[in-house]
Amino acid sequence: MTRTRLHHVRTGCSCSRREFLARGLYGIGVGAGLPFILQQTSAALAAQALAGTSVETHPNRILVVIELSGGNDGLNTVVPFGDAAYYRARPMLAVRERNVIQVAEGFGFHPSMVGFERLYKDGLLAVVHGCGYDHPSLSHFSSMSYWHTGIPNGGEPLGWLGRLADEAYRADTRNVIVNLGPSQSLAVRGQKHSPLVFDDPARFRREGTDEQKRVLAGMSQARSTTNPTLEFLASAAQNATDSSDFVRQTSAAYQTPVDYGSGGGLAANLQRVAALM
Amino acid sequence: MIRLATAAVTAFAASVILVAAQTPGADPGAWTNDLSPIVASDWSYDRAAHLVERAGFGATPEEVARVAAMTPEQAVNALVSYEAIDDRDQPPFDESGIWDPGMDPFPPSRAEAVRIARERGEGLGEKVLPEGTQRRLQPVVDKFFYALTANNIETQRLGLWWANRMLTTKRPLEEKLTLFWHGHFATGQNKVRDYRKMLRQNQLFRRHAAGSFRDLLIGILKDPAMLAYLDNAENVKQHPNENFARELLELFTMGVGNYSERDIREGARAFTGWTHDVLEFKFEAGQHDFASKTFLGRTGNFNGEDVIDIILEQPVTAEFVAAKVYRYFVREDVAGSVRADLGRTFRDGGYRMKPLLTRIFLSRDFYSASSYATQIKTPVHLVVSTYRKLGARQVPTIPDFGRTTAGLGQALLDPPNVAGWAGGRTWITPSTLLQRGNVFRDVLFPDVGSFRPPDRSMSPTDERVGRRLAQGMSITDATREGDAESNVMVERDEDYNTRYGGYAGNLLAFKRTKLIPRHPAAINLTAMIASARAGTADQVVDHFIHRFLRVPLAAKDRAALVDFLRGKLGTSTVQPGAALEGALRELLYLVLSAPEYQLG
Repeated sequence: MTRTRLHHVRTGCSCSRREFLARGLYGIGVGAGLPFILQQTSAALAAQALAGTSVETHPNRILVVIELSGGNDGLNTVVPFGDAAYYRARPMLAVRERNVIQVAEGFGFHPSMVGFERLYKDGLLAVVHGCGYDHPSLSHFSSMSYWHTGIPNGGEPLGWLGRLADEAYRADTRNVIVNLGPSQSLAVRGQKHSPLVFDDPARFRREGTDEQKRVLAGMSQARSTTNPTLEFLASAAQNATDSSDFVRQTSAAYQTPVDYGSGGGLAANLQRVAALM
Repeated sequence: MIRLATAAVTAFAASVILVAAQTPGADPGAWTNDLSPIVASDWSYDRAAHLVERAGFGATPEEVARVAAMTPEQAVNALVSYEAIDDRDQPPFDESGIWDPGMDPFPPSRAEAVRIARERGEGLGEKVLPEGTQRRLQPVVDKFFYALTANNIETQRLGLWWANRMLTTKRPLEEKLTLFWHGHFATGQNKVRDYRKMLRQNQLFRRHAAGSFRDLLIGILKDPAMLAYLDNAENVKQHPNENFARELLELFTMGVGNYSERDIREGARAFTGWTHDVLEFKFEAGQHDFASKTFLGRTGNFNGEDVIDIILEQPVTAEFVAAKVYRYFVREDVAGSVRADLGRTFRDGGYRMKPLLTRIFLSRDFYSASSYATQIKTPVHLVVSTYRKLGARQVPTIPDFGRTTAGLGQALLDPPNVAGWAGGRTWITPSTLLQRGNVFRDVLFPDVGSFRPPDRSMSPTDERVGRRLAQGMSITDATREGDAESNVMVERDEDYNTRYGGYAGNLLAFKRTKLIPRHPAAINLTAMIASARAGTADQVVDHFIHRFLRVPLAAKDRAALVDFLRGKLGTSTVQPGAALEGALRELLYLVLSAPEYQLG
């Protein structure tokens, strides 16, 4: 079973998406060996941005991150057919070289991934393959938190997207991070920015009469108290008051010629993302 | 009949003064991390309310007042030593009897069910139809989907039965602990697919809830639901499966960082051959690795129980479990000193729960400003405690209990994974926070007309199949769809039709499971405020705050509620009449939607 989570990071007015990534990643300390997952990518993007070879031309673009959470056989998705170790380790499971859709030296896609091949050849898809770190934790839960923070063995409390947003945006910038999912991902947890989290825009609403909503909006204001849990709740409540109508109405009003199907899941979430953008 | 006027006002004010007079002078802020016990002069209505909220599911003001009238030792003892309380009024789970003998052992997938049926000529208690018959395997496929749906419904009924125990039990800590263990040893019906195993596991948790952790640990490691959930049937001598040992060490006993990967591998060997035969634990000696193992620094021919005892000898185990108990009952942040101290209490007490629980519930730390009303209620607690505080005698079924809590992120008997519910602030997003208020609108203003019972509802796909069949279409046409999956199905249509199986399985499950009786909440707020002698808008608001909130509202928010009620009543005094109940419900919806109401 795969669960989908989507995070957007809004790239602001002054930098391109790639600069944003590059700057953000360096901002959170590639120099200190972080974050492992995107070191190579980040370095490459930074070099591109500095050399002016980035294909980015729209500085107000939005970065959409899709997280497919669950089990996937990475080695049979992007097959390292050029590596004899792969065939030694998988005498039965390996995808044979003649069946691989070959796209790069020694690498190719699983035969079912024809559409990916097209995207790759059009320059619309990049693959960061074989991510990992030394002495990996085999704990499912530790591994997920390392993935979300970008820091293995670190106990880092903030997520990589949250830190990115903290680095790049002032605290008063609204809705820098939107997280579509049933609960907030560790990846978007930041210091300065409170991510806007919701699952189904249609359910992101306060029920009741206008009068009741007005009273509740008054009771839902962020405040400082001696009870930190209450502060947290009040802040989330204010966030909900400020954003729910906008998100729901925007989503409901969105019209698109694209057929996202009726199956829900990732396609439905992508439609929600498109509406918000 | 509303009795009123000055006498009532005085009575209400007097009780407020009484409460204030009982509040001690000690500064609860200084009590943070102080595990020494509170004394009788520290006891108050608010602290009694805090105790019954945390050690149970909250209570009405009358019940809290009874606890407040005891000494703290008496109050805690009454909660913790609950075996003395007769619980024979609690009915056993009323099983529908969905299972027949041919269905065991239940195959892991439809494909496997079909394979077995082809091989043996029958499967899941259904005979394959004679050669040459169209869709020979359809009865088996129907039965497979029947089992999934019927189990699902039976699990909904089981969850509702449990929720009713939480609501009506005279042993609230027993149910609160049963829920704790369900989250600690998290097992999900989604994978187990057998409500009978889930019921037995639930009974195991309840039997050992406040007993010995060792007994519970051995019980759960031999529990068929857990063995199925963690795939321990695949843990055999030739190919040890590390899943079980990993979660045992990481989640159930020691916590990550306190053992090595080698300990996991060696520990897994000790549990080889631990499997189950449907509803019973089974040790398969032929699959067990009897050779020597080195585990946590010790070497020997350890079996599973030996490994458990070695784990329990580690001080870190007592600390890990005690800290988890503390986080559940007290607060998220556990100070190092508290963790070590409670770990000693737990270990010195032979892993018995009662000394640990008693120490926690009597500690100054438990009543300190850091702990008091600083937890976020779990969805199940939020809903059950609201019904308790309303004085409900059974869990309303419109709206549906299971759907309601699942919508807020907590489905009983279906935790998200083996780590259980993350809890705390993870319950809250801007969206779930709105929904945590909205659910009470559904309770206070139930939509009886358009309610669709989930135990009798099909998926849109199955419903469409049913509609098309009713129009006279053939099975092949009724189940045809334009996507890839159905093309595969059409190819198999000669032997069976999966989509039809899903539909037919629903029908049979609806026939063979007992119907969940549907009723909205039996609430009478008019009577409630009458017996509280609240005769003005101010008094009504104060009574609701007193009954439902653990922290006061800001003055401006309280004033807004009073204004709201005055507006609804058209006056400042409460007059009995047809419109009163509706106005009170509208007001209560606001109180239950306040950010403050999330605090427990």
